[in-house]
Amino acid sequence: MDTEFEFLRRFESELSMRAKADARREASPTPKYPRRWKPWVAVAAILLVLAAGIGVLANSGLSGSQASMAAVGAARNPGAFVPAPPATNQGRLTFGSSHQNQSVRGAVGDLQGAPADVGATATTAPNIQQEGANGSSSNAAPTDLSKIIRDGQIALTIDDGTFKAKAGTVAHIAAVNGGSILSSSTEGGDSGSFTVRVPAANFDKAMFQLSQLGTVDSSASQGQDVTAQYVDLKAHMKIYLSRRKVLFGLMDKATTIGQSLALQNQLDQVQLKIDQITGQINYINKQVAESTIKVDLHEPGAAVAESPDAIDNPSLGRAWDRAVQGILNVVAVILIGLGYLIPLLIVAGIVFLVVQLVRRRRAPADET
Amino acid sequence: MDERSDTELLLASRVEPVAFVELYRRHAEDVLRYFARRTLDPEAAAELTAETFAEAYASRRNYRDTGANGVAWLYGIARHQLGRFFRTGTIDAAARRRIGIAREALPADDYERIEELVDLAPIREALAEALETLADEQRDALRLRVIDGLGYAEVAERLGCAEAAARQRVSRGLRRIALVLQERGLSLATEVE
Repeated sequence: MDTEFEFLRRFESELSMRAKADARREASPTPKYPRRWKPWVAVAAILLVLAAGIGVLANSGLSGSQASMAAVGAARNPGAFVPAPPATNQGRLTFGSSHQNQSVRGAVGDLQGAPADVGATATTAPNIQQEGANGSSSNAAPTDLSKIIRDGQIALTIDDGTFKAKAGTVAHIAAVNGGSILSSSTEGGDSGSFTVRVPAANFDKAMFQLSQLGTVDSSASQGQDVTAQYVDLKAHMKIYLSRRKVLFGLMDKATTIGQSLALQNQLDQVQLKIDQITGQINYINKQVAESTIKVDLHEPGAAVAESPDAIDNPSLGRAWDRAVQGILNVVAVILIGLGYLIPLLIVAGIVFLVVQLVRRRRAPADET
Repeated sequence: MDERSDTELLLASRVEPVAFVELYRRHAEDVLRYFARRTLDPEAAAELTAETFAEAYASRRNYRDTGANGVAWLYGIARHQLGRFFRTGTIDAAARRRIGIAREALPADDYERIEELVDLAPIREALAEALETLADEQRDALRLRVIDGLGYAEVAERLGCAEAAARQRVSRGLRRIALVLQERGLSLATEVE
């Protein structure tokens, strides 16, 4: 540069070097990011990965310790040991102490044997809990806690002119298996659909007997595992029962009308919750206890009676639930990791601030 | 010698950063003069010039060809820098930091050369009034340098201090006066278009 100003010449030299460096970088295929935030992106990404890694390790460590605690409990009291329900079958992370889980399992095991008692009245609920507690301490055989709702469909082609007789046989099969026909529809006297309810224990037997009625066009059976939902409900039930017990105790000690009214109000709400949960538990028990079979019979050439829900649509709702659960699982793992990382970051931050402070104090000294 | 226009150089500098250096060669002195006439302070003028070109280089991708000469965009940045200087009395080095150029002190010889760019005649009267707002050390140094027209060596001798200290007093005093004159609404120079 042709100038008499030394300052401008120096700055030109600096600018030229910078421009040449940028030109080289422009020519390279590496992605370009503004210098200011590139390091922060890298730091944030590293922290997230680190948190996720620590979270996974911590989570697996937690599960391991829970498993070992359960094993120790089983060794001390083999009769009380109950196999863990398949809680992961709905993609759900379970956090909690093994002690709590065992208590819930005990209560669940006893309730399973007497589902009708649960729904009798709300006031019988404490008795159920009592029985559950007793049951868990007895030397009962290991209880299968799995709660699976089984459903099936079968479509058959039957011989010409036999529809009425076969329809009667369907009713007979339902009856001999301890069930009944829930609904039926016929079309033109040569085809029809039946919804049969039979005890879950006789599901396979009933499906086999139905398949003998004619030529099987299609047959399918599904099992929906609701164990985790059931265990959750039982856990909630236990909490509300305990709360109700406490409220009863407080009611006895109440000395004023105001206190009594306030406690009564809370008691009503707790009782309502107990009734709701009892209803849900009864529903699950009923669904588990009985299976539904849809039977389609038709003679050759007959129009097939199509029930409204004959088309098996993919369950978008369930897919959405699983997606949300997956996101929550990842967030939970990262949160656990951050719990370990935050104390370390605080220490690192303090060190960083001290270094900055020292640098700033040195800077003015250098300038002078 | 690059034959391209300022606008073409600015546009080319997006993918060819070295083209910006040519733009700097063409206009650096003019921009320095622009700042010197407005701030009266050689140090501030040099700093503002460097910061203006650094800012222009860092944001050259934002330049849009609107039909006007590309240098108008450059002076737009210069005006922005000057406005901030008058508002805060300080000069930022953010743009230089962003592109990785260190802040450098003004070489001693450049002080007088930059002062020569400033035509002080039209503001001498206003200067005399503004001088009263200065600290004694700065006012004495300025009187000797600007009103009596002495060289820095003589100013230093009269004040009994080092030449560098004399330069600094004059520089700080001029900066203060420029700020005072700006506050009073006195225009130190016409805008460069």
